[in-house]
Amino acid sequence: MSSSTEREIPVQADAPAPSESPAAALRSPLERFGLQGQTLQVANWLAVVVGIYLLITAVNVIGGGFKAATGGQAADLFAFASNPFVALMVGVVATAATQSSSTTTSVTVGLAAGGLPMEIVVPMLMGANIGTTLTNTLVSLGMVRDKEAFRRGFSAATVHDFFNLLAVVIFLPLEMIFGLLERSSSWLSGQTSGTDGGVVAAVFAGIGTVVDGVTEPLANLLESVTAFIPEPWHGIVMIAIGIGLILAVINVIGRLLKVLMVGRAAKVLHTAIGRGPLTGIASGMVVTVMVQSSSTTTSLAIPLAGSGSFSLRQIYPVTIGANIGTTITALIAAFAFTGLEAETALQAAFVHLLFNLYATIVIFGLPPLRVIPLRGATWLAGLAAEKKVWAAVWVLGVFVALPLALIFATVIL
Amino acid sequence: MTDPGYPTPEGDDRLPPRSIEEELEEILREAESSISALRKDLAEQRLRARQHAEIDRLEEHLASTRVRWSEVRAFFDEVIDELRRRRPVSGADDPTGTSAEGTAP
Repeated sequence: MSSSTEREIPVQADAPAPSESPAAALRSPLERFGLQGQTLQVANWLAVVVGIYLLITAVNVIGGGFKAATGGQAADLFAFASNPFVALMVGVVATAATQSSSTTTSVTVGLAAGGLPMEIVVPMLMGANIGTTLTNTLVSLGMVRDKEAFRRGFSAATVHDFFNLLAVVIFLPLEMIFGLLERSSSWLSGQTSGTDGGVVAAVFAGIGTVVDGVTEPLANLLESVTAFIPEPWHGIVMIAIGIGLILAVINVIGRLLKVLMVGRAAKVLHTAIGRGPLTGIASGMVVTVMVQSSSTTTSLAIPLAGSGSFSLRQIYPVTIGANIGTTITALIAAFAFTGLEAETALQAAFVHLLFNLYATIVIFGLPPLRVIPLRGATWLAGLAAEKKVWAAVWVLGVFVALPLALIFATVIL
Repeated sequence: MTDPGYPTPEGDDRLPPRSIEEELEEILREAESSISALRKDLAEQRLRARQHAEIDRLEEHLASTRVRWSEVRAFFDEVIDELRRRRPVSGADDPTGTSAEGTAP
């Protein structure tokens, strides 16, 4: 977060508060049980560990459920989504609906391990990147009563939208033509989990075996409890249980980590002030890993920009770092499997990581591309500040109408 | 404008003699440049102080990273109001008087 004064979004000493809402405080969900002080702190950490355990178990359940539901014929059953644009839009809509890219990526990792073809997995994960930008865009709408704060906040939100849309515009065609992400992630997962991957693969396999050994009993229990349901409904119920569990766990973990990590996150951000964009990317990445949610980091940027204290150019790298940081969840989820399933799950997780790394290197690394999200966001925020209907058109168009129209056009027509 | 009484370094015939006025102008330019740099530094320091103060409110900001649907609804209410406010203006130019103004809720 360089502290140089920027021209696009002028810094104002007497900028108004971004929101008229009363100051909110972070509260742990465990406070309702009367816990406080050190006991609460310990309980929060234990709950995070249990949450991660349940997350990995849920991913395991989804993988098993998907395999059972499709009877190993996932490719045939998901032929409707083999069109990459449909798979992309499924990722957008699923993430926008759950407001959590971590949920979509974890579920996708489970589905990949269960046999979902990689040509569907890759666009779905790209779609998750677009869908997750809805959350901070909706958060920025809360500033609508203050025109200047709204302009700054909306530009900080949509710079993420533009960056992630541009990343898909560049990398989806490359994927369709050359299989760039599928090939590179396949190589990387082979190196880290294959039988001939050497020391790294042995370490990953060891961790995977331990994690699988711990999570397998609960996954088996859930499977046996629902075993009376005939297939394919049994598999579908297992997928539904897994998705429900992931949604709940991601929500609770997110709330707990905010409470636990607020001090450390503040230290990271304090350190980043006055430094360059690479530090901004690193700080966004670290904060996102801490809170396990890119939308938390990118939504955090809205009041920072809206207050006028941080310029759009300073917020931009932080949101890009959030894209990279959020890929840790899919990597954790991949440890739900062993053997060949582990290799496929890890490949899906690496697709998400590599996509965001490539996008950062290409878009942020090349000055002509780097300015596109900045200019797009500044232009759109200027329009939206004058006529709010443009903000509504953007939100409803990009996140609702366009995905549904594309899915409808491809599947129904 | 050369001051005939202005002393020049003995034996240094490469530099033309400078007037007091030129010397004063140069001193003034340097002073202005220093003041400008100081003002820039001061602005930078103030900006950083504001940024640190904003990060000090991180807990409050983190608590507001969730979507508040009441605010989203209020936004769309404002959009609808904005659209309604614009409709009579377009209708006022309608000479036939058959605009949507009369039928708008």
